[in-house]
Amino acid sequence: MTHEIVGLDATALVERVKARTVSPIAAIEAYLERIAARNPTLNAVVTVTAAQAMDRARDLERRLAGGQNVGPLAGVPVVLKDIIYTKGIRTTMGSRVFSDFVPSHDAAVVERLQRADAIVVGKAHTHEFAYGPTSANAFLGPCRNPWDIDRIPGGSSGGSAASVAAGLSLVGLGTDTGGSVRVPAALCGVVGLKPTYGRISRFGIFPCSWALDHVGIVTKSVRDAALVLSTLAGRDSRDLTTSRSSGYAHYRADPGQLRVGVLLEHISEPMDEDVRSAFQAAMAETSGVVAQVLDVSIPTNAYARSVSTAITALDSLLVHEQLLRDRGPEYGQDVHGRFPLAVGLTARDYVRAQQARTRIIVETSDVFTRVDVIASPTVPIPAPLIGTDEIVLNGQTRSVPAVLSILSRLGNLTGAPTITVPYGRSSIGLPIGLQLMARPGQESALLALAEKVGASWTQLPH
Amino acid sequence: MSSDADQLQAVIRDAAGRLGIVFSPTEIENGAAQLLLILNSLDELGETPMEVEPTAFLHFFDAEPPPS
Repeated sequence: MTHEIVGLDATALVERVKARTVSPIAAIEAYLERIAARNPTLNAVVTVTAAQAMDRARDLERRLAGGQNVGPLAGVPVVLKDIIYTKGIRTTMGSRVFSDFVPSHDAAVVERLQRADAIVVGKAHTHEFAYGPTSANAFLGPCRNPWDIDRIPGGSSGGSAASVAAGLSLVGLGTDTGGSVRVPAALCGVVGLKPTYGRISRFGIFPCSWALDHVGIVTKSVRDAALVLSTLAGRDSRDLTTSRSSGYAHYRADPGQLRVGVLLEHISEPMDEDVRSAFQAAMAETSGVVAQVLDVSIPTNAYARSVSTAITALDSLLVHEQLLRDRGPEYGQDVHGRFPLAVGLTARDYVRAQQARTRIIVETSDVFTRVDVIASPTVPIPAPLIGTDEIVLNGQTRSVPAVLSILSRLGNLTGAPTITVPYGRSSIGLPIGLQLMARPGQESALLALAEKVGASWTQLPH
Repeated sequence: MSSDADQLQAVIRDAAGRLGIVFSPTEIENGAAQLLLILNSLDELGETPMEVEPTAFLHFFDAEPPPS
């Protein structure tokens, strides 16, 4: 029964819970058993909330037995990146600085998940302060990729992606400032959705960059991502960046009507040959599904990394200034080492970066007059080995952190909804992701196309 | 190049001193190298003429796409 439950996606589990063919108690017990068995190796969940989860499962079971209506995520186990506040549950930000911090309130996303009857089974590993793409972490130790435990899961939401991939949870919530949901989802072989900027409230989530932070969703299937998005999206007066628009309706778009652009600046980046081959195969399949596939160009994308780095550095300094003064020695080396850049940047540089960002948005918007979706690989390489700082790609030596997020920053700078879906495996069996991006507000096009061409996640890695 | 990086190290040291944040010499050296790359990148883009008419931008953040 445990194996059968863990083999379902969230949508299927909810159907069975509501039909009372699967008990939410059995479902949560199954996932807690998986966590107990696999997490000591993976280090994907840093705090297991077993007692609270079982209390909620029993309450849900009572309500089902009483014939009451239950929420759209009834009985779905969820892990939350450990920068998402949970009332009464330790929330570390992945840092020694907050090693014993217990929030007095829930984040808005936690409130919405609980109203939907999802069940939080744990807090997920994160790169310290969500400020890095590897999930290396001196305080928590490394999180490991379920497909090969000697490799990174990517980051910063590495624990959320590794948890879903390994069957420790059906949903992982994370945050995405430069690719921090999509990168680990791609490296772990699961679905990662970064919705439109402002689609989901960030209230109660420790910030990295006010301008670029998005809440993101990791799931096994595209339909699960749509289901979770529908429960989380909406205006929240406590996050003034949230959109009043509720104009999201998944699967409304007909993939056969879509025009897909292959982003030349992305596919001309140095890239692992397995990733390139998988992307070519994905586009060959896509061309048989959509109205048109054509090449598109966003020349200023060449500056996306610099612009994104400058904006994030100064936004983060605003958040960390006092903490760095008071508790700087407690930071991990790699995150502490990001701040000299920030203190060297000026207000003038920030304005120039925002102007450059606007140019990137203008060029992107021009492309979206010709296509509905922009496609590229999600990450140029499969998951690297833990501790690898540099990699040689097409004869060029590159920094691993820079390579990991080189294809994902455009989605944050433009605020456009972007999804990664599994598409193929490397020659040694590591997952590869396909990235799709649509105009702001057009999650429907993304989800429809992703559902059509993305590979469904059908098995646990081990 | 190296004198630029040296100047930027001084900029970082001064700014960190004003903020009361302590960085190691290696952190400052690496930070200056990153800063140089970013400032050069922003300079370069600032000197590049824009080739796209920004009319499409008017509809970019609309909930629905513009009529085709």
